[in-house]
Amino acid sequence: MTRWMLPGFLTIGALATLVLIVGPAIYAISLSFFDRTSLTAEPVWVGFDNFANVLSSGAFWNALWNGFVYAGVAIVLQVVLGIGFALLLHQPFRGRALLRGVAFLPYLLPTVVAVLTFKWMIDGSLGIVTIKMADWGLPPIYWFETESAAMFSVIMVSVWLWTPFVTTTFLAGLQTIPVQLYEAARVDGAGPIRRFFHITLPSLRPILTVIILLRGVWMFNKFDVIWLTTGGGPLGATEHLPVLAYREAFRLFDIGTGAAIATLSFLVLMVIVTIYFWAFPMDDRK
Amino acid sequence: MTTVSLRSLRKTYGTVVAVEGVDLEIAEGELIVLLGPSGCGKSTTLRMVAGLETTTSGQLMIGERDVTTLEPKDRDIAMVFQNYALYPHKTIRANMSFGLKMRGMSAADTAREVDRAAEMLDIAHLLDRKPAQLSGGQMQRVALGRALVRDPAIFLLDEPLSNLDAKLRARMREEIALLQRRIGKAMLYVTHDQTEAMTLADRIVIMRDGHVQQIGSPLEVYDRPANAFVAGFVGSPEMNLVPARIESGRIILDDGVATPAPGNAPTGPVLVGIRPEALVPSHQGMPFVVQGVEQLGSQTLFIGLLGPHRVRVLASRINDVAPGEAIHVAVEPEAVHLFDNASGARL
Repeated sequence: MTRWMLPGFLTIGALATLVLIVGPAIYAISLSFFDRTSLTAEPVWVGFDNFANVLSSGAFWNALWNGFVYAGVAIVLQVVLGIGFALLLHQPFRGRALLRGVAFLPYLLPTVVAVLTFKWMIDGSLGIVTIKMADWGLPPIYWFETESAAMFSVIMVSVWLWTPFVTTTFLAGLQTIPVQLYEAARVDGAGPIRRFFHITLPSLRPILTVIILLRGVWMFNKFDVIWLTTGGGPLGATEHLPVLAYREAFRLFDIGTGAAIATLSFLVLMVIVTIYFWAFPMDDRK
Repeated sequence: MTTVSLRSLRKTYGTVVAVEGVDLEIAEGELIVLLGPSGCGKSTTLRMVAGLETTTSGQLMIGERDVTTLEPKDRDIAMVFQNYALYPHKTIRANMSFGLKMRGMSAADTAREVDRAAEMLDIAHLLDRKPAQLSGGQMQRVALGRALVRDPAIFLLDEPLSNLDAKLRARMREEIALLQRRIGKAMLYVTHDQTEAMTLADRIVIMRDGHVQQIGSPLEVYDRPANAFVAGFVGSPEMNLVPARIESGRIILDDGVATPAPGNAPTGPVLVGIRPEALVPSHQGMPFVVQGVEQLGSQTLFIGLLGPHRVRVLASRINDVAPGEAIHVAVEPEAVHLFDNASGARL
């Protein structure tokens, strides 16, 4: 390595970060201080008015709450199911390699394909789920159309889509746990449940910490599933901050308010991530 | 009194036989070493005793109980693993307490037992650390400590010293021997290192390809190896094994290379075993062409040709013989081991 390589690569990295990440972020944040009806319209400086309006609106708090519910429940389910499936796929059985491949498939599907498939399956009149339920004498459920069911439905779609990622990550983690630890625990008298809590779970902790963080951030910012299924409805029942920001900026043409919502969303996430890092430091293996 | 009995213990994986009919009685306080090369079935045998491997057939008794099908926790055993298998996220105290806790021992009793074992192994100052903060030797002590707190009928040790450097290995070997004598419990110890076996064991069980080759005290297997395999495996540097024939009371290694045979030697082709230290440089005897010289300090190891056969000679220190020189070596007839040329069995 020549003596110019390190500063050279650092400079390229710093420039790319500035141009592609810091610059747009500053621009987006700056938008929130202006009143603007489109990206081409002349901006009018309004200071913190957009933030004041957003914070005093019920829609913002509703969207924030929905975001917590959507991300929180989806992560819990993804992690619990992910570990469960990983434990199953870690057991020796015939066709394991094939099943491991199949289990990863949902993650490879484009979100729009998965969402359309779900929408077909649970369509109120033609969906296979609706027809089957009718065959069994069950009343129809309007999965995306009623306030009570819509949040449950978008969470389920998200869990179906992203649990494979969690499963695969945990499966990789399980394979790094030395078999001798389990044998030592068997000799020590620990049954399967105690072995899980005393060996498996602590050994997966570094992965668990990262997965919860990553999936949490991704789910909190996840736009496509909700937009493609419910569009945030019905009556804002599934509207979270990304959908609200998009609606304000690009449907109601209030760029400033949209930017203010996005900025607040970013701040909320930053606070949560900071607390998370403090509570679960990444280098506590010793 | 017998603590553990292995009766015709057998293990197969499909058509592959890993262990074939091991019979062994281990007395209370006895240290048995299972010795053999990789894949000989020694670890599988130990793991069957531990309950970590199912037994294909045979019976395992610990005390008066048939434990053949019992879970490891119900067998009254403790085990030390090759890679220590310490729980990495638990402190040393928690590592050592775990087994007692699983058995429902009270916190106060557990703490007392752990302190007692830690004291015995000189690891009391490490109790609050985690395994990653310990050296190899310290981890080994903790692994021993974790077994020790359990006070089992038998300790099972699976190549416990193989991850340590030579110096530490020698020290830990001595400590394990002392510890075993102090606690007076039976130990079943697996190793591929014949020095470990010789120095530690009350009796050595030598295995090969799943079969027991010989069971005996270290000196028995050294002095009277049951077959050529045992002869070659036990002893360092290893025994010289060369084909020869016996004619009129002499062992003929090659034209002009002969030495007196032991009194009971049968006539015909044999496999001759001579330990390197039994070949003594002398003015008379068999001609030996030195090819290599290794100075070991108090001793000198010569590698060279005895007729067409490459052999080793271990002598008291000699400074003035260089590679390329021809000397003579002699051997007492009683120090020669004879094995069947085909089966390798002792004659």
